[in-house]
Amino acid sequence: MALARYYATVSRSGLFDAEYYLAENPDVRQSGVDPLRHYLCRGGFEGRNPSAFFLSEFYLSEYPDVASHDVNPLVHFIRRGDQEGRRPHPFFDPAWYRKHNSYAGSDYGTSLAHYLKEGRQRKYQTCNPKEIKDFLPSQKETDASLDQLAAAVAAWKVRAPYSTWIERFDTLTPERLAALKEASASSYRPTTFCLFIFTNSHNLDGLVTTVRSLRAQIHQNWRALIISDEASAELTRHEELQDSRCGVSTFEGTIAELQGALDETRYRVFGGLLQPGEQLREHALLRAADTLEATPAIEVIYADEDTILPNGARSQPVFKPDWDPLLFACIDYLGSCTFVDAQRFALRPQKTPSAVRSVTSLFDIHTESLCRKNVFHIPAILLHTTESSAYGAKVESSAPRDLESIRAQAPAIYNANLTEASQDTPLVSIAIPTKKNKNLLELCIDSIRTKTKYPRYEIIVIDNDANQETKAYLERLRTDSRCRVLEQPGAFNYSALNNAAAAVAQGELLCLLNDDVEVGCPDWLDTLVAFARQPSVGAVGSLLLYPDGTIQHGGVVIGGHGLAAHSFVGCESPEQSYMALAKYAREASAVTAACLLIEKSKFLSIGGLNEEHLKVNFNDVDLCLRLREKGLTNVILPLPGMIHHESKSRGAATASKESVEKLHQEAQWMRARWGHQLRQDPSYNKNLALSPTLYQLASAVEPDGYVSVSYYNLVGNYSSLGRESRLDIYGDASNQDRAAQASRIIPPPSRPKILSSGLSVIILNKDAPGLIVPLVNQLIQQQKAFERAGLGFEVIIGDTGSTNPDTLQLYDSVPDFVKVVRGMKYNFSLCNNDVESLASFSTALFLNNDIIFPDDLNILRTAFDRLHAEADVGILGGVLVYPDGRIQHMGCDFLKDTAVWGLPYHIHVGQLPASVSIPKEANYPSITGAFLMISRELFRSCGGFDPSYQAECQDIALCLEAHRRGFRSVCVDLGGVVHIENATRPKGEENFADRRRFLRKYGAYIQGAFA
Amino acid sequence: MKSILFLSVVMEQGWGVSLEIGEICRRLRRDGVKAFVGAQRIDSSFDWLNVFNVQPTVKDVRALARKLGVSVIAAQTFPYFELLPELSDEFETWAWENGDPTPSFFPDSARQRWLIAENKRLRVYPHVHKVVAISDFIKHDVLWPEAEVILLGGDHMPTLPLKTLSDLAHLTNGKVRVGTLMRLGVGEAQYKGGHLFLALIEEASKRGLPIEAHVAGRGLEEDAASFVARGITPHLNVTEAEKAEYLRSLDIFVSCSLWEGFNLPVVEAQTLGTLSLALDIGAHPEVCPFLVKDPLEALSYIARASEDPAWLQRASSFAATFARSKLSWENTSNRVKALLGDPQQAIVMRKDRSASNKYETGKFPYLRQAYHRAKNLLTSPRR
Repeated sequence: MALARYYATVSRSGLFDAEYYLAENPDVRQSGVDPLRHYLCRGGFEGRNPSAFFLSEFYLSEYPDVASHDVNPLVHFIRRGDQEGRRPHPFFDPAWYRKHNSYAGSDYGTSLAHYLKEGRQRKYQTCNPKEIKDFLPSQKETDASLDQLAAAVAAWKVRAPYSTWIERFDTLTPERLAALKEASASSYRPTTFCLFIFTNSHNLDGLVTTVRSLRAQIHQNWRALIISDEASAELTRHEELQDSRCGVSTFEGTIAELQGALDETRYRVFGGLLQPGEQLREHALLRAADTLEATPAIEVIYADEDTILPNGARSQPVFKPDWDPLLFACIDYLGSCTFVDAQRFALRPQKTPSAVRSVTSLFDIHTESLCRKNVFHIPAILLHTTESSAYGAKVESSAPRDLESIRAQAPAIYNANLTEASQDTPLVSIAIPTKKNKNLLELCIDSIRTKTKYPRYEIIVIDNDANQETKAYLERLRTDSRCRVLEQPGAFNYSALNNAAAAVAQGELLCLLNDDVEVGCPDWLDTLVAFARQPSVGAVGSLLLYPDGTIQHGGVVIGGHGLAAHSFVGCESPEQSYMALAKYAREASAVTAACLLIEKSKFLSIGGLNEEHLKVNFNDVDLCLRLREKGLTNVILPLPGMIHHESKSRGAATASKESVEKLHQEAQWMRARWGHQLRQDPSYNKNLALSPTLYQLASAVEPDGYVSVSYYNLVGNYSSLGRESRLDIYGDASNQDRAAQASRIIPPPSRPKILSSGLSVIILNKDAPGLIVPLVNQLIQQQKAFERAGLGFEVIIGDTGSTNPDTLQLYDSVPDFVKVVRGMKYNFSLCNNDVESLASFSTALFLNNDIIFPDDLNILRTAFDRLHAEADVGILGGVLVYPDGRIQHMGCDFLKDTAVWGLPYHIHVGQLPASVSIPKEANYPSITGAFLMISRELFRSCGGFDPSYQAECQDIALCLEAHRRGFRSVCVDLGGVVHIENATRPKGEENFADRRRFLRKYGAYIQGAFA
Repeated sequence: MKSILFLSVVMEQGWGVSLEIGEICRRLRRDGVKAFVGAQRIDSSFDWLNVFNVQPTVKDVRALARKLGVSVIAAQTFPYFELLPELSDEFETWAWENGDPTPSFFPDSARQRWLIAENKRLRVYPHVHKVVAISDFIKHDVLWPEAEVILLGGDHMPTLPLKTLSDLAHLTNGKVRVGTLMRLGVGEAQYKGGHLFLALIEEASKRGLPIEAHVAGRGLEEDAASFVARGITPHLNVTEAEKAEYLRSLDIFVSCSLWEGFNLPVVEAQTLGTLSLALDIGAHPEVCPFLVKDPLEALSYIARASEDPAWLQRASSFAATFARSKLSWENTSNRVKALLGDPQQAIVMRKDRSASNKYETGKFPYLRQAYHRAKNLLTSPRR
């Protein structure tokens, strides 16, 4: 029902451009699914855009409350976001648009629709021109149309993210550098790196740059051997090379001499090769040394790299997969930042310096000589290459190896001795489930029969309630001795159908093939069989193309789109895929069962496809993951001409309500079964995004302890904790103390039932006449709005020892509905709980005394109504600003940085409202107790403020108690409520015992609910 | 990679340590790691593991380890721990700590228990190659900051679908089915919090909450008498299959235990899809997202469940998803493999360790003092 409603809403809005959507998303175009339905069910959540003017990814990242509630971004914008002033595009400000243009929005529903239908022709401005200048300094015309701006943003998106990404996740700040140097100085790492640099006198500048980067290394234990093809006095005399660790020699005889020296050395030496101009980052050798010393078994270690441009900018990051011997056999993807155990691998005899292009040409390394577990990948950029030595240049210059030669090498790659066995041709059973698509099935079977070179195969067509036309075709098929038809009527269960076929299959190998796959390569089966027969290989899949030649499947990335996603979908050609990976044979965590070959014994040994829980979706991924769990490797091969008319035979997974439900149900099962592996795909890289688009830069990266991650605003003086320390949750009390506390059963005092509807404002105060006097006067003015609605209103001040005459005079002069409870001893939780117990009305507002309201006599009434408008809203907070207008509070979230994981922080604290889009209302994990409204029934059910906390976290804990009980916290912009924070508490006052207690009690919950 | 011999006094059904060793060995063997087990009391449920009977003497353990050709010996229980220092000259030795309940919970044997623990700190841990703790809490509780933490799993339980509304007992008979699982014998009753569970049920009844209370565990009928007297249905000496069925059948599982090194039943209940509430003690913060400060807070959640079954169903799914994704035997065995020298696993572990080992200096005098005292007392540290 909801889907139908949303469909109608978006259709009417005029904000969904089906043509644009299909053009931008070839996979949707190919699948034939209704574009709007796809957008509503999946695309919106994956960050796909419904038009050039609504950027889903921007909307979801800008408004995390929307993302956290699984609402389609466009639906949200139409129903609420537009009115709340949320931007659909960085350069479209609904509030500004309405205010500065002649706007008659009611006809069009939203301001954006108004712009597209009228404003665009009238050249209305869509946001403050200043913003355009700020975002795009080169944009001369600040009155550019949104069309121009959208194009600029699209271009900017391509260009800008890497520098932004570096700023956020990969910056080595001076402080961090100093800390690493200090840590490095305090513990000696004996690992020595011997770096070879082959050069000539023309490359002096590049050489100097490289040596400079070596001399800047934190890990000082390195030697550089600069080998020149000619004796050059200029080289030996150059100032930058006057370092005792640098040796310059000519090519003749050096390698042999060096091998002798390496053989004799007692220390562990790792060799590497740097091209002149390449720069190691300051922590590169340190990080490699740390890893090598932690795991002495490593023989080869490599890291990611990017390219440094002549202007010094970093570009073209190459985030590599973990060790993949098959890919390595196709292309030396390890790159320049590779170090090999120089005592384990001999130096190759070299004829000329120019022959030394890579570490693998310098040292005698073969795929078969490497044990899988002794090659280690550091997923971090540790080297800047030059444009000429970049990975892209290598791909272009290297002659691609044909599949046949890779196939011949397969036994060597997988250390299998199959010489004899591989010469025979075992029977392959090809299982093809079908239902109603006779034409595609015919195409599929004809292509197999006419093109397959492999001599021994049988085709088992699984008839799952096929229609008449298909049945007639199947009857004809029975005349072919190689074809069998297996009747499997009943509800579609892809797993069960294939398992049934496996049960009757006579072949030693089983090929799962969709009936909408068209074979285009004569030796497709020979190649698949060659790999599938390797004892350590599980499933073997193929690169699949759409009929228009774009890629449909290039392997499956685990964790992609939240669970599993096809790689390189929509890519024009394999060469254009990330690192050109699609053009190489390589390992993959999973492959699609649209074309999957596996030894039947392996298939049966793990119980085949999961027909109980995964009837339609993800069964192939589950199969591959179980094979991987068993220690087998899955492989994807770039077989040419394999066409997949995806989901033509069955319809896309989002085609009907039932299939959407099935998809959700099966996805849930998969998450529960494989959740822990969703961020651990060894064929991928943690620095790359899992959604919305694979192989883009990740929008969040777990800190690695070396480079700084600097995008948090923190509560309190976080720096005192130190970046590296983890708050120890057991540090504040022994288990005996905790057990004693837990055993103390003190039933709460019986309290009167809450009967009257209204608001009780609760404030704790001591003196501070400059704050409390104006605040109480403002609150007195709020009473009328409640009175008019027949609601109760009172203010209760818990006084904790005032002696100031002005304050005491205030207490004596207030009207009856303002009460003062004197003689309290300050403790935030106990005092507030005690005052609450004296309140008369159904709702409580806990307020700091340093709050100033704007001139709005209805402000608390508005907040009160909002709190009670939706049943699942438990707590309401207000957006608070400092007196100078900067944001003090608009909700709290939790740190995701592992070092201080789980601590709360104020979102956007200290920023100017203009730089942050403040929503009218948004959900947050918690809100501050400086302005916290809650129904008293819920407050009591949550146990009130927890008095175990001495100084902080009480408010956050209350919000989490409510959240655990199913009630959310919202923060509402009430129009400029000022909070003079720390007017009552010294700045920087921190209580680590409270923080430990908080993390101990809620850490696991935060991990599950907000991580 | 190195091969390993685990040592435990008991390898019988119903013992947490036995299950733990079984689950780890199952996965290590699957991955080609040679893993063996030596024990004194062995029952048929571990036949598949081919457990070796070995007396707790240095001579016997050494002979077995030599015969099997293992490189690592990991002791999981007393008295095998005490043999490790002498075996360290030939084998890599690990003291695998599942922890010991605080001695003060056992007034009659408190001193003896304290001596055993102190002896390990003074004479075992400093002389072995590694101390492994099954939770961060155990690392603290055994006062050994250098211990490697390897969390256990819960997925030996069947992976059932998340609960739907119709799976809730509350909706079929109008009562929230609340239960616990604990050893009922007098010796362990105190630290297992039986009295707190009784108090909880009593208070629930006073408040008129619609609940149906159950308790399961090892014990005699007389041990269960105090529960029966308060209307709690006992399930004595259940099998593993019955235990799984029992935990799944509950609407809310409550652990009132006052010391837990990990708490398998809480993790098992959650893995089976049952919302679990546990006190803020022991390692509960690491395994349970619904931690309560005392039994009365647990009561407020039971009240919430009785008011809103839809909430109970959502919370149950949350707990299940948490346990299934965070606490798996796969992670456990990967960590063991890392310690055995698997480089791919080792780096992951090292990263975690680098963060967690750096305690804030000066904040835990009791921990540091004990640690240094133990180290200084050694006249000839092995390493």
